[in-house]
Amino acid sequence: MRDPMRDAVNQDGVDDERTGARAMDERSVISSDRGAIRRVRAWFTELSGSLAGLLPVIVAMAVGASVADAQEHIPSKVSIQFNRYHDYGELVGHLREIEAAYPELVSIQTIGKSLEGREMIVCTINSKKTGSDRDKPAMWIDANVHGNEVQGGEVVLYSVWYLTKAYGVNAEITRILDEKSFYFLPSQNPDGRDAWFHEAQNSSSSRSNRRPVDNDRDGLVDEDGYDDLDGDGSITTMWKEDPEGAYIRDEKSFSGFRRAEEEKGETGSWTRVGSEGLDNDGDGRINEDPPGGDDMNRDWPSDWQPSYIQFGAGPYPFSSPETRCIGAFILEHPNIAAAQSYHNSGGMILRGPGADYLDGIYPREDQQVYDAMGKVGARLLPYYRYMVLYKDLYTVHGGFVNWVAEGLGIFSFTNELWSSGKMFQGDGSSSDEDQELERDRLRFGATFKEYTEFDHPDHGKVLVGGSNRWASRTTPTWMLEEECHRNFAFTTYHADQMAVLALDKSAVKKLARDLYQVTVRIENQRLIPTRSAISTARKIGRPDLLMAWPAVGAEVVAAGPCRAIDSDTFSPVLQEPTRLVLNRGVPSEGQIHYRFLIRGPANSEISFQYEAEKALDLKFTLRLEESKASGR
Amino acid sequence: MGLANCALVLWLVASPTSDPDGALRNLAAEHPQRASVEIVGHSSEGRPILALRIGPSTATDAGSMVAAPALLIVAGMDARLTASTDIALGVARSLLTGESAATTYLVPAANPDARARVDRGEQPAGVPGSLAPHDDDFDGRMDEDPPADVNGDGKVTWMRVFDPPAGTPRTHLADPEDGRLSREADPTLGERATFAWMREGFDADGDGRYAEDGRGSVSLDRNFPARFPEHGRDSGPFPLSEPESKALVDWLLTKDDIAAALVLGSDDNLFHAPAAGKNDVTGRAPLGVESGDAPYHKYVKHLYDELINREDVSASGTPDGALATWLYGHFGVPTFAADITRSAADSDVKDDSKNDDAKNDDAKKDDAKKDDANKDESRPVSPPKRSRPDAEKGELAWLADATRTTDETFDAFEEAQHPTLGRVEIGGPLEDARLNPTPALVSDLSARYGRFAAALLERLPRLALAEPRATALGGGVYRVTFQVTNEALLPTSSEIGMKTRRALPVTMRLEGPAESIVSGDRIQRASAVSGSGGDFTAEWMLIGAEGQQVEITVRGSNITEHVRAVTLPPARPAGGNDR
Repeated sequence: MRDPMRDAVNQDGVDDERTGARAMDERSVISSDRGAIRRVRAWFTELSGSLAGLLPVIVAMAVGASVADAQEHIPSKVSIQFNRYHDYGELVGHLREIEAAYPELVSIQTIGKSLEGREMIVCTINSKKTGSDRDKPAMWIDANVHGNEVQGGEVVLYSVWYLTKAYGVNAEITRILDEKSFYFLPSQNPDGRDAWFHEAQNSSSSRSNRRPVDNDRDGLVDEDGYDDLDGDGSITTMWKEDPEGAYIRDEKSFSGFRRAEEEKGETGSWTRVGSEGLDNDGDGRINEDPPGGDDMNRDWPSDWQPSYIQFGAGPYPFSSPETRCIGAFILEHPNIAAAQSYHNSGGMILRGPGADYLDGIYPREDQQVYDAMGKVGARLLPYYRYMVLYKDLYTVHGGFVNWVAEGLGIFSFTNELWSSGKMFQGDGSSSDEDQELERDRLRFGATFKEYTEFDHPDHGKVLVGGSNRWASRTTPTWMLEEECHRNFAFTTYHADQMAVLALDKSAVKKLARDLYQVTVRIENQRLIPTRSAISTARKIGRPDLLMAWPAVGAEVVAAGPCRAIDSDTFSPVLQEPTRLVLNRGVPSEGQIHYRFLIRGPANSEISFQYEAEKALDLKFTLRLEESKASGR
Repeated sequence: MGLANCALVLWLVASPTSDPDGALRNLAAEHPQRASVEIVGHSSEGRPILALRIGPSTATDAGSMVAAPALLIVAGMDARLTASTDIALGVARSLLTGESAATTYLVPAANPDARARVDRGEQPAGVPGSLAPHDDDFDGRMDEDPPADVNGDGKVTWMRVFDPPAGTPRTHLADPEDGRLSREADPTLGERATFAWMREGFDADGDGRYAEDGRGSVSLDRNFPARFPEHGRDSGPFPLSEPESKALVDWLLTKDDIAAALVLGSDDNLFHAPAAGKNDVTGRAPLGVESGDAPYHKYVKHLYDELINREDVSASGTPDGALATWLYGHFGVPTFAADITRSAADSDVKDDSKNDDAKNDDAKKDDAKKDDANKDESRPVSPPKRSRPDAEKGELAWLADATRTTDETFDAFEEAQHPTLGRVEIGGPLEDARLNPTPALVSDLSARYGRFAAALLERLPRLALAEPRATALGGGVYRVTFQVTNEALLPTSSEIGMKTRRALPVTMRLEGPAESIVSGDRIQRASAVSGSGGDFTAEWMLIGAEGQQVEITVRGSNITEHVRAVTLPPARPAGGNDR
């Protein structure tokens, strides 16, 4: 297969920085009726070339002391453009630059290798001075499980960039980072991502990973993929003249072809042949077995189903090296209490379940937490909707969000980035006229490949062209930074909702000589409980523990839950009063009350520790005194 | 020779093979022409999981018969079922002395770490698990309170706890008719429980519960992806989380020739016929077998009934997450699950409890008559009669099994002083003898399963290729036909195989320039060639010349790629239209 686009990355034809190289459309724009647009584009390319020389100056201006005091802008030690896309190597390169610039916050580890040998990396963001990342509740954020759904990788990069530059500068970000840690994975599918950037593709191809699959069941694998016949770097559409065809050529229509209107006496003369390609294996079919075939977002263990039930499932859950190493990392980090996995497109904030028969699996308490966060998300992200996967989109078996939410009890969303409603805003609808206006006047024709003739071995003369890979699904580069920021803001809000525990109240009461009653009220100041209700119901993870250590010479006689700080009675446990096992944890913005009967000398101390996998340990010490209540 | 000696001899002949791997390697060494050892993978402790491949007894004639399909036999998933491993090895021996045109893969000890623990006497009763630590009692600690030998008799059995700790009720009593049997008290009989029934152990973690969190707990036979019981007590954190189950699946996925499977263990779809045409919650995955597979399954069940001839088995169905469920529902091959565990019916004791019940009924009637006659109001109330549940009947039958010595089956209850529970009685049924058939029956079953496996091999799909034929139709037009025939019972792809798309369709491709084909797709395919003489014929018309060679390529599962050639015959004289 020809591969003329190996280096060109940017939608607007801006040169790839690593190779110097070339604009994407030198050979492809042939048609004459878009001359004006071509001229604009040539001017733009020229301009970016000359601007490149000024880049160091511009960067110095942005980062240096010359920024006016009135700027809202927070400077970063690392300069990154967020109005362009990055291939996997560039994403990782920038993350490593940030790691080098902010070593007190960032550490990158390799967790495995993709099938084609690319390093899978997790970028941990943690304020080391406030504790280890594992002690804090953590949010997992990944992107790009589908190789073509690229902008999530940019959101990850933006998030790491923003968190690091804002820590210590912006009070809110500093507070959140002092309380929580983050694990970012820029791409679940680096092979698919790079194939999408460096091979001829359309907006939907290169979705899968690269494990060879015999899609057409002819005993051969990956033997008939797309072919870039016109060398424009995108896989577009082939049309052929056909007296029986239903379409007529109409250069004014959006795709260049439209259905013949028989009632107006029009007769069709063109047929859509399909996507650009050849019959590489001579079996009479075109493009029927492209590289790969496993959909890695059907490769997770919860409600995993084989490919005859769930299209795209591999041979078994965690069958790909990418999902396997991600799964291992997540299982080794029970402190992960929130998760986000970025996809494109459609403007959705999705939660599980993925199948109707799992509808009952989300307890009401958890649904309320999801709903509360989802509503905020829909406001932070205009033209995004908060949706339930199986009800509002489609059925998914073995999806990532299902595994983390239903298998591991982690509050998780999948955002489908980019909503076309954002293009003209208003009510979000988009007419044909809008689409043409967008293509011609906002994108200057860059998302459309003019039709050119090709002599096809099976179909004779065909016209090749139409919408290219940038025409849908991806966020236009000039709207990308906003897309990044709003999604970053939502996931940061999501992360901020992970449990924060506090001793809200305590009461010490002397019952008899050397016998004291100590009652504590522990509160969770955030939406996400220390244990999701699904974890409680299905015994996922480790239960929370409330431990008590009396001073030498004192002992805990009994302990157990009570209804309120001043309850008359309580329910002592039968065993181990110094180690209370709490399967329910501390609820969403709620409180728990526990009482201890302690025999010990006056003024001796008792230390408590509330341990949760998904919250920072809460430690406090109380003194056995005559009678004392404290708290808010 | 006395009866005891007889039993001893049987024991020596058929005691569990202490070294299944050694036995397997010996078989391969003894039959280098037909048998070879393959390494399926490695266990979590690094033990190899071995397979024995037994090839066809005669080299297949590449001229007419295409590559042999294979039968898979797996045993020892639950390592406590040493009998399943012994039977699988017996099957291997018997297949190696017989004839077969097909291949067999045997994995007799699929769970070698657990088996090693069984052999060392360490395997705690209960879950036949792998070694993955697990928080069985959900207290935030892993494997901290395993079953243990409290009275130092070398066995880990059961405890009758007469004064259980607070929160643990007394639930059981010793059966009044046979004191060895511990069973729940029946309030409808006015019975009163006298003890709590617990695994033998200490409360190592001081939580008031005994032996509630032993080492490891993932049952391999619940760890497969088909209807995986997520968050189940012993199914593991995710499907194929255990190295043993994953190794088996990875290895099987490289075996395109496997056309049917037999699992020897504690699942069953042979004694009890599986449901046909019923699906799980997805609406797509079968709960039993596909409707289209029911006829051949019924025939194989008939073979089983005839050849294995058991009176009863304990299991019914293949459970969620089980290997057999996966082999059929996901891997897509006809799968036969045979429960080889001991059943009540295996004992030499007649179950005459039904007669007892009948007698009792008669007695009751008699009593009633007497009552009527005498109207003796001072007569004490007779206790209600209890009808024994089947489980207890089995247990009693097993306790009374004359073919076993008492030592093998039962550890007599002995009083002991438990460090925290006070007075207890320790003893009870022994796991190995309870699960596994008697050595004599294992011997017998090995021979019977040998015959059953041979019968299955005979029924694996067997495709014969006819010679392609070419007929001149005149005007340079030729008709070329090519036929394959399935000479065995099973289709080349079962209905589940077509659903799971495991088996590739049988395809025939006419080589040569496309323009020469006048009619017929260049590649013709049959998703399955049905059994019992079913055939698939491809037909083309093409333009050619006398003496020209036309080649046809045949492909498909269980078929090595074959190319057949036919020479176009002399043209017919012009004019006639007869063929």
